[in-house]
Amino acid sequence: MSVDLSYFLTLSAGLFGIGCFGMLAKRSALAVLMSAELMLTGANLALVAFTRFGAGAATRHAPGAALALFASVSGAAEFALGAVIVVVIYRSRRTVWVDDYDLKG
Amino acid sequence: MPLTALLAAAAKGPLDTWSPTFFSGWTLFLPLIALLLIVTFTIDSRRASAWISVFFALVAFAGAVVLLAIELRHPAYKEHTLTFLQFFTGQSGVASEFTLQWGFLADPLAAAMLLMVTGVSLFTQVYALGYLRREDGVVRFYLSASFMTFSMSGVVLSTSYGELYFFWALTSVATFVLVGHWWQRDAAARAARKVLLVTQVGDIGLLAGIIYIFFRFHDLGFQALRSQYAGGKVGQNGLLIMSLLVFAGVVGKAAQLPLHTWAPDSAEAPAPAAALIHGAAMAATGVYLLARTYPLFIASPRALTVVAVVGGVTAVAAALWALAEDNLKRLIAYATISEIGLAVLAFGAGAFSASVFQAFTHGWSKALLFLGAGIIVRELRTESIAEMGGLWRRMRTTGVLMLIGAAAAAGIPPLSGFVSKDAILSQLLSQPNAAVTAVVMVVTFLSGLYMFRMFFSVFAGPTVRRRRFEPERIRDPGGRIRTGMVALAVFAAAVGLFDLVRAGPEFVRFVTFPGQKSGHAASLIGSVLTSLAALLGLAVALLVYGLRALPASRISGRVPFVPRALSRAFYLGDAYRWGTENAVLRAGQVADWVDRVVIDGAVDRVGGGVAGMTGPFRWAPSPRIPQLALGAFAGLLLLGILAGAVLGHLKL
Repeated sequence: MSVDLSYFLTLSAGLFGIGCFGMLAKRSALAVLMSAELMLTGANLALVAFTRFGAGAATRHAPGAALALFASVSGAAEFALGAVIVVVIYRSRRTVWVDDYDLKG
Repeated sequence: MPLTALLAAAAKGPLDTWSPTFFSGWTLFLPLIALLLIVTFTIDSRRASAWISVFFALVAFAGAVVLLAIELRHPAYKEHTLTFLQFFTGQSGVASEFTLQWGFLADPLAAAMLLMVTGVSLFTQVYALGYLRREDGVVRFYLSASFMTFSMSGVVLSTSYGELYFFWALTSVATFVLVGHWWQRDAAARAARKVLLVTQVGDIGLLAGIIYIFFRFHDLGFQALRSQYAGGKVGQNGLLIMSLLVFAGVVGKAAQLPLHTWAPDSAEAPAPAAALIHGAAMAATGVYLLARTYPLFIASPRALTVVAVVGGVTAVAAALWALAEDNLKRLIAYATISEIGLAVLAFGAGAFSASVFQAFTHGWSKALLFLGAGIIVRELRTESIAEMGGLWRRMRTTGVLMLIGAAAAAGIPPLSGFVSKDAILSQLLSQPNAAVTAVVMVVTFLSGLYMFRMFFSVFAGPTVRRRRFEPERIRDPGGRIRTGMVALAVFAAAVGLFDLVRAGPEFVRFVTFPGQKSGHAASLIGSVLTSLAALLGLAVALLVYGLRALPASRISGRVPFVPRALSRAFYLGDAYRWGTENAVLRAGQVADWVDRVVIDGAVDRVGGGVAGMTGPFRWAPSPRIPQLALGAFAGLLLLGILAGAVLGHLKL
């Protein structure tokens, strides 16, 4: 059995799907943020997999991997920012349940 | 085998085997190490910080002396570089790859300037040990002095335009910090802002010049560019623009005429800081940059003419302003501008080594004068020379030292200023140009006049009585203040010694430019003319201000508008202030209006328009976040399907 592109793409799609579900179904704001990270990881995995197995894999250029690197860095920054926002909202509303948030204030 | 190598080296003597670039790098980094040590360990201790700084300045001075000794033995250009940054310019061919080299060089010009920089820095720091003892901000002073020394050494030892500009900007920052040392005083804070703004005008010119040079030659190294300027790669007009842009940086840093206004104000700095700025920095950055980029100026004779005109006009105008200035420290600052102007004029007229020599000798005497002025101002608690007088009896040591400084700066034989002015005149006489020779003579005469006007006004005559001031309490300084000043006086008197006797390691034969005529003219006409002009100035000053045989008030009473225009520096500073307030500030107000009304207004309208479009849907209940997320996913899915459909339709 050899591990080829389809395995990675399956895993990537699974991660993305779980993240997507979590984002819609979870009620805690922190869990929603974590689900967003899962989706990002799924997309990054697809990028790296295409770099490794896709067309042009023989050359030494790895733009997909570089893109994934940038994406994960900005993902980390985004999570930090999101967590801070959640904390700030928690301080004023005393809740982390997204159902209780409304945008009109 | 190592033993024989050692023996062979020993037979040649250490100066033959020591690497000059090792010592130049050593000298460059010592002040930086002192700075880091103070910041890391002794930031709370005034004593320890001061002594660390002085100790490292001493070692740096020793390094500069060794470097000079090596260069005297082997006067050659050497550089030690490391690749700092490497990038591709995206063009094909040889020029596609650009490597930024960082390193330090060693040649006679750099060795001489480095000696002046580290020496003036060391002696002013020794002086400051006593002078700043009872002041606040001692640690801050030593930090900024070390920083200034580091950045000036960096300018002197840079191997490329890029590196030079880096250190050049550091000297701007250091000057700002030093001038604003007493930032609680409004005048000092304002002077510091002015220094930064006015020199930046020149710095931007220099930066533009460097960028232009890079895009035409694809190189920034001084040594690599040396032979390329005249190679026909760039036409005469391009070379003229390049050299004028580089010269703009010199004009800003060396306080030449259009950008001179910061220099008199910077006398607000404490005396040792002013000595560092006016003695070392203006010469070691301004004139040094000219000397280092001489191949560029040689390739463009029209630029050399501009340089000569700017230098000559500055030298005469600043000397006239110094004649009418009443503030002791501002007077010396004008004298600095005039002396540097003379060096720039000599450079433009083709007297390369004499120009560098003038900047070199000027550094020591002007630093000494600033240090002496600092003590006088502190003891008398006034900066106006009209309120001084009669100090010769009360401050004999300071008087003797100031006399040496004034005589050396004025060009009274046989002190160093005379030797360098003599060198300028001798080199100019060998290529006769009546106008330039006349200007040099006039400036020498005027420098004798204003220097001794200052000296006689301060030291001769009766002590002016003022309220709440007791002349009996004036004391001569002792200890470290005197040590620093005496050391500077020795150098101010003696750096021209070898050129005076025309033997040994003469400066003008040491710092030369290949293909330029160097050395002294065979005739003695230059020496005679220089000493006559300087002594005539001294005699007039003695008559008018010393013996008061012909009081100055009787002369100026006839033409009252002349001294007034002179003491306002021909109203140039006022013109700049008027221009700034009426043109620059107005333009700023217009730009502010455009920003707030046009640009911000457009952004606000767009946002308001989008908000307005939601009006018809206001009746709906506010959506919750999960619903919004669902909507976003649905939209994304829709976009994906649409994109797939379009791409499939286009058969991509």
